[in-house]
Amino acid sequence: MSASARSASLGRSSTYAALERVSRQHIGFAWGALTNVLTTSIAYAIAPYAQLAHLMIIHLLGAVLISTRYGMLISTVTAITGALAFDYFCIPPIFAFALPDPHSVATFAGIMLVALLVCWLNQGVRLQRAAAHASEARTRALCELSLDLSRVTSQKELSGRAEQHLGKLFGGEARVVLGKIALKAGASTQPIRIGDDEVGQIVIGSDQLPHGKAAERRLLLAACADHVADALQRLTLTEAAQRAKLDADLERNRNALLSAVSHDMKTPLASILTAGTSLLSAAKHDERSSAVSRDLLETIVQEAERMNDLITNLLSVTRLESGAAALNKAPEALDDLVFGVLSRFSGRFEGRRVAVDAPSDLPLVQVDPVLCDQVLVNLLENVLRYTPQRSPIDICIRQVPAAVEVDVCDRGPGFLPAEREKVFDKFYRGAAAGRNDGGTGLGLTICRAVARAHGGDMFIFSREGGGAIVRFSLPYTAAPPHLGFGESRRLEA
Amino acid sequence: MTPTILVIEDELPMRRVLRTALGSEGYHVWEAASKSEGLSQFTKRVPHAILLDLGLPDGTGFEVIESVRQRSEVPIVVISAREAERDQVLALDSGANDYVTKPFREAELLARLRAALRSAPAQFASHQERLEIGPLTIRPVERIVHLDGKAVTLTPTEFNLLHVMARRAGHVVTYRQLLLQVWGADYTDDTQYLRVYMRQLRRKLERDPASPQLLLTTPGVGYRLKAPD
Repeated sequence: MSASARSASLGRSSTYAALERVSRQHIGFAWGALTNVLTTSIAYAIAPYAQLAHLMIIHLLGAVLISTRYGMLISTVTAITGALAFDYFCIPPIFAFALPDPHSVATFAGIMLVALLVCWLNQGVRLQRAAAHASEARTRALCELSLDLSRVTSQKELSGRAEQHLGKLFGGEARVVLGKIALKAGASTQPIRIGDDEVGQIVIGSDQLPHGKAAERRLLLAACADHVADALQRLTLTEAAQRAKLDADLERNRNALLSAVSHDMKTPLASILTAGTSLLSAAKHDERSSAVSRDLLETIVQEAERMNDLITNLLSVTRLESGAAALNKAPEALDDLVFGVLSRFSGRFEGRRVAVDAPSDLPLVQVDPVLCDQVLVNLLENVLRYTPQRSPIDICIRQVPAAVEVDVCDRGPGFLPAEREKVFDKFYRGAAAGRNDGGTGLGLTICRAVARAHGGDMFIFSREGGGAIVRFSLPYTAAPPHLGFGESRRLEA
Repeated sequence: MTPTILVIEDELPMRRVLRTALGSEGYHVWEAASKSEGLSQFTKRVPHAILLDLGLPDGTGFEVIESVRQRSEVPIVVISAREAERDQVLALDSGANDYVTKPFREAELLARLRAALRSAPAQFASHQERLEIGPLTIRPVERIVHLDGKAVTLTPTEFNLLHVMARRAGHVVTYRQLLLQVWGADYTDDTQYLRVYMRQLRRKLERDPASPQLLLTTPGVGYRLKAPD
């Protein structure tokens, strides 16, 4: 609906309300006149048989009856016109405005006073009743609004239902705008807030409130806005909870799939590898076996191992990237880990000079030893695979503010500047990588994923004098868990 | 005498491979495909060693270790998947002697098995007057250690640590077991003590502490004092 059309319809509805008010007043005066005619007629009929006081009671009754239904003006007018008619028709001298004696005047005045007092009291009771009715209606409407909004399942439904209720409550057109749309604040708008954030607005077209005044109207509108805000918040929370549940389900499924794939692929590989190595060692002891069959067996074993590495790496990278790998952290000495890996590699260095530079007071770092071991193994594998034989390897461990860094430095061809980030991508093979060098294109991906899972990172630099530096940094913030002098002595005791 | 090995493994191909590999080395092999079958075989006749897969159709390998350990100190070598360091630690802590990760080369398995069979009488090793492991000679009563014939001065804690590993030379001793036996039950989570003392021990015992050949680390599991094969 366009704005002008809406304001036209709003204008119509307020005119209609004014008309209604006026015609209600007319009907009140008519009822008052009718009542007066009736009471005066009755009084006139029984006047010859009754005392003056009795007749006045009849008049009083009429005025009181009117005051229970209509306002002060109508009641007063009815009481006064009734009194005049009564005096004219029923009190001798009949058909004249005159009172017989001072005593009757006093009685008449007293009755008039009582009539006006009752009218006034009734007015109060009636207003209170009307207010109570209005308040009850508002409470019920708010309850209905709240109940209805608590059942909605989408924002669209929420604003639709809220508009219906608000329209009923305030009469006329109501709009509920959700989202952070900056609408102009005004007398007929009410912001919807969650906390301090404005998340929408209610726009009320009608200035007319069926019951109550402007202040009450604002209060009611604010209460409605609160209900809409509550419903909106509930919707948001429900959506978040559903999303979290969905994520958890997905995670569980992925983990189940990962371990199933891991088990189902690795079990046959394990048999193949053990069988292959078994045959190979038998062939080596058997002089009749040919070099060809030994070569073929060697190939089976190597490829099975490569396949196994590929599966292991793929699973590791998937676990790490999905956040499914729970880090099993313990205080570890990184130099110890490096030495451990070096001693396992010792048979494969073939004339390379390997130097480790580590300070003797290197602090223990909270890391997952198995994952860090895998990082070091991958980095060394890369060096062995892609740098010339007999070229030296330098490993430098040092403590810098907030981190411990392990630099693995080689004298190989290095990385092209354009490659230094790409090599961390899954399955990206560097320019130096051959097709059949046993690499999987996942080694560095895993290394960086492990570093990042620890809150650290991994970067590649070019080394002065040729070669590459791969820097594995691990955050080190906590107080060093080293042994104090006293503690050390206690442990020795 | 032919040593008998009880293989508890549910995968038939792996059982077949193990049967062949162990058979060609001159071992006698009994096979079981499940936890219940393995335990019932074990009740009937005690083998010299058990090769145990952790994932069995009717239970876990840990349950097998527990049942076996209630009755016997027979060496148990666990065969487990590579990702499960926690399982390996748990298996070792609940009484397994050693573990081999799948997939393994035949030679590796046979070496571990030989070491496990050798260690069978090693439960009495703590009472021995002399332990000789490669270049190391340890005299527990006098608390003296010689490396290549030369005396090495160790602090009491360093000596205890070395002694615990020496008694189980060739096997991984978990962090927990080391902490429990050297420092006591209150210190089983304080792995940083181990790191510090192991570093000191390496400085005194290794020819090149940067390339340890005696005191080896198995990341996430424990330490192993290398025994000559």
